[in-house]
Amino acid sequence: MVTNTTPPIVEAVGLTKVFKDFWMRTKARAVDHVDFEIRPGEIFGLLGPNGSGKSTTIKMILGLLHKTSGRLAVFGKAPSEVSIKKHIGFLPEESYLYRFLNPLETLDYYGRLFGLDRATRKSRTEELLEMVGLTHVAHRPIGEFSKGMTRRIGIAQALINDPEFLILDEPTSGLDPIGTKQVKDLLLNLKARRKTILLSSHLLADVQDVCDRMVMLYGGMIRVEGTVDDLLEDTNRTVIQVPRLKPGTIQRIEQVLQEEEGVAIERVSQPRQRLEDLFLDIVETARREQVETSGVTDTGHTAEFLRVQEGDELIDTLVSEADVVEPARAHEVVEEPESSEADDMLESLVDVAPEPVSKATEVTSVPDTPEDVDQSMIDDLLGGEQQDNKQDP
Amino acid sequence: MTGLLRIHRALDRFQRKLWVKITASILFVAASTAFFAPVLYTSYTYSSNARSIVSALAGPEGDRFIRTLRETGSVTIDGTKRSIPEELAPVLFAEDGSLVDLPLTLSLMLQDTIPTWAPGWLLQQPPTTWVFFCVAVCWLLFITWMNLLLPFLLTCMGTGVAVGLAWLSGSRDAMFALGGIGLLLFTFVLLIRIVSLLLSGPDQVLAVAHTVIKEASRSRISLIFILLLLAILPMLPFWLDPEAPLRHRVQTFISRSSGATFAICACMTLVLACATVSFEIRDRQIWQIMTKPVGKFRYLLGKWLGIVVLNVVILAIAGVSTFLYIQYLRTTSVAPGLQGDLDRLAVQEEILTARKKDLPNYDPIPQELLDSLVEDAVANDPQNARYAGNVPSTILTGIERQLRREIDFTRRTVPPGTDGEPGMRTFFFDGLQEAVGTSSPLTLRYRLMLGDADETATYTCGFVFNEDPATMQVREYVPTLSHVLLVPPDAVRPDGTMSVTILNFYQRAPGSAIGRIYFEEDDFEVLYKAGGFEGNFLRAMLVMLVKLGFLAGLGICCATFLSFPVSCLCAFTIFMAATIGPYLAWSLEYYVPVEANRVEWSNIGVAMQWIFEMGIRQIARASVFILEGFGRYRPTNDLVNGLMVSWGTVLGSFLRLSLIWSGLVLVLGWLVLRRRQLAIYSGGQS
Repeated sequence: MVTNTTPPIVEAVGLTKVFKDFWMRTKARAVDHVDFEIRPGEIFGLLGPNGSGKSTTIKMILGLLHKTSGRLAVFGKAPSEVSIKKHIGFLPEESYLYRFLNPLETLDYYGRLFGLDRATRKSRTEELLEMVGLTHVAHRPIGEFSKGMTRRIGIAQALINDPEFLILDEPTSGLDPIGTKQVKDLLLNLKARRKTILLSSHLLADVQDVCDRMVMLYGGMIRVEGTVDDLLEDTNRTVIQVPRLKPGTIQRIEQVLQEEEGVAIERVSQPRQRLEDLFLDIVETARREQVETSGVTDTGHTAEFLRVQEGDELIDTLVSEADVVEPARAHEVVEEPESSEADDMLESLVDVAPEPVSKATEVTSVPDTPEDVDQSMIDDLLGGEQQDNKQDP
Repeated sequence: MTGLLRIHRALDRFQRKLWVKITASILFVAASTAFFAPVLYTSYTYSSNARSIVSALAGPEGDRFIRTLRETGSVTIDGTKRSIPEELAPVLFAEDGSLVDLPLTLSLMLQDTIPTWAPGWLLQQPPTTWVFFCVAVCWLLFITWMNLLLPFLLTCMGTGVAVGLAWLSGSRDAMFALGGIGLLLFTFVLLIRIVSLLLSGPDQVLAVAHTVIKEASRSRISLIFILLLLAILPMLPFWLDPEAPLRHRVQTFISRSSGATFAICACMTLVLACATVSFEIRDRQIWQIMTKPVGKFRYLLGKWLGIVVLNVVILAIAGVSTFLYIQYLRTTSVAPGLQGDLDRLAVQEEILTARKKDLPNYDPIPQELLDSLVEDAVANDPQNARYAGNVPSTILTGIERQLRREIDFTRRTVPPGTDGEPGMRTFFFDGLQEAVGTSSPLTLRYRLMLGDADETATYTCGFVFNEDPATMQVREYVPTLSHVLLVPPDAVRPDGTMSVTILNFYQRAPGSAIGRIYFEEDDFEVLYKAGGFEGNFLRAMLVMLVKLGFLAGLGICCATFLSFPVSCLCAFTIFMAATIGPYLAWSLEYYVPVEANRVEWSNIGVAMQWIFEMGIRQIARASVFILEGFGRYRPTNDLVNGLMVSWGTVLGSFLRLSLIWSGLVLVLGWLVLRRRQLAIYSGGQS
């Protein structure tokens, strides 16, 4: 278990980053006196709208940007220390890979940068390619890949060193729902192995599904920080889910509620199948029918070296519990509706800072979607389609 | 298309089978042995005959053999009659009857024993034949074991078709050019595979270097230069004038081939070095690398190593093809008779060799004489009156420098003749210790000027060695053109000194300025053989590599803080400035604005002009100071003139350009990269 005495993986105190122009005038205060710490073994979410300072914070943690003031330690050392990098895996917002290399060469190259021996590189490369479903295009130059396929290689390269600390910047960006689900599974697997993960995303459902703790940034400052449960729990609502009821039964239940609690039913509706499940069913059927595709094929399970190893029975148990509990959340018979503080704040943030680009539209469109449809699915499909359009004009 | 692809895949699988590789290896070794074994046998027979001739000529009865050879043009040694062309006797024998050039005599006596099917140059050097045998076998085995058998066969077929078409069209030149292009391209692919194998270790520097090699061999930006070079090299021989003397053809080919190789490699190196770093920063691939445990210096070192290794590959291909063609070219036809023989001799003794040079030694100018001359000059210049005897030291230094230049010039002049007697001046050479006892003749190279004489007319001069009138040789010369004169090796005294007196037969016309012979500092020199062409060629290639290594570092350094076009511009500017450094230094001798105290400051135009001129001069001086060393190494020039590129030069260039200069620019790049923020503000973009 993680204790308070365990040194944090990342510790930021008063972290500030100010960008200046050529004449040394302040161009932007991207991060402003931010304090947080990421503890070993947790999945830490970094949330916020575009331009809130998420990427800047990540870049400072990685040593790609220098802090203006404050203190920032990664594994207890300065982010520029080369020695700490061997424990880190990084997936940037876009996959910045060599177009002239193929997936095998790419993973081998990054493996060599980590000083891995040939046998380890070979086995991990094969496992990772199988995991991301690109074994059949292992010899094709990455320059010929679609954005989603490139993204998968990006994920694979971030894992080649089996990192202690994984930094994922918009990991599901550009991925189809299969890839998105796989990333979530991967994160849970890594969590079970007590890997530490920093997840930056504006796809709130992704963060909600996997994160232990999170901070929300706006204008470079932290607006809220805490565990997911603490932030999302709405103690003023109760949801009861049962098989379909007759109208008379509903009226009688309302009567009881009026008599016992003095409240009325606010809303009655039928749940719908999750779009993600529908999509996965269709793809699975197509694969069974062996429909040809030049894209991603049947993706494998999480690579063996990234999965819980033998002897970790306790962790195995935790994983199996997590596997059972997490999907069940959507079908709980009684659940506390999620709301409120966080959602309200996000809505207000979106209202306050409307973005001219399409991503802002994605966020503002959230309230219009049916409540019982998985938000991340919509985000994924819209985002993926738009990005694909950008990629292939 | 799918059918062809399937066949290709099947053949590819076939070539990877172990038994196929073993069979192909056995066949290749057998074929190579079948070709080289007779060459080696003939080669060793040649060597054995050469040894017996040398033993006979240098043995107790040597004088008798040499006398017979000189008188009859032939001699019988070990029962075999050996002969030489009669017309070459004056060149081969000194006046006392001794042999001047034993190696040449040997090759002339044995030229009949060389079979027409075998390359003569190969037969004369058994170790070189062994090297070629080993290289050929290794080349074929690498092809086999690196799974390149199929591409090799396809290349052979493709090249064969192209060559066949050229043959049908009757163009022999095109046949050779196309065949050469196919061979060079395939060799490039093979060498890239080999270096990839060598760079496949887990070390980070090697990993980065390996990726640079892949980038270079797959990206248009560098491939265009590589393909250009590999296409040009086989075509260069066909741009030679077949009517020109052999020595000119050889010199032209060496000059063009080495020059084109270096120029194209330099351009590719600069462009690739700038691109590989600046594009990675622009396209953010560097984020992925710098977030791995790779030090920034190791990253830059890897980039540098990759480019250097690529240059090794290209220089190896270009060098071997150039060298082989030179060996072929030296055996091609010359003009009939003595002129042709002398032409061939000049190729052997002046170009395809490694000669050291020695310049005349002048006594130092006495300081007292200089002081007195400076004093006179100050006193005679009315402008100095205003200083009332306290002339500034800068002016005195300037006058002294000018006087030194004039005295030096005077020492390099030969007065015209008067009253029918030639004018004369004697020059001393004292650095010829290595030439003592050598059997090869020395070469006196001179490029004389004659006042304001017509540069198209011919004039007469004479040379006397060690003040012995019997050694006098009279020659005609054209002012401004270089000429050479063979000097007997015994002209060098045992202590390594020699004096040469120039006789100026031009008679001064009354009131005419024409008549005085003079020459520039480097235009009167004695050259002597100090090594073979093969080693010299290798060393010249190494110096080129060292220079390219510096350019790689320069491009990388510029790209760490500049965008691709700007870094290219900057790197190319520095490259050009470095190349012309020696000429710039020479020009600066003559580009001296007047002293500041002589400028009419009240005249704004004059003042502005002076400031501009001083600015130009200071920039040029700084560039000369920093970069002149780069231009001083001129391996192509040395090869063309048959000058020795010593191991000292190679080592010196390596220490200076590779370790110090390249090290400095890489450290500068590292400092920039260390300080630079590789990511940018993206808040406004997303």
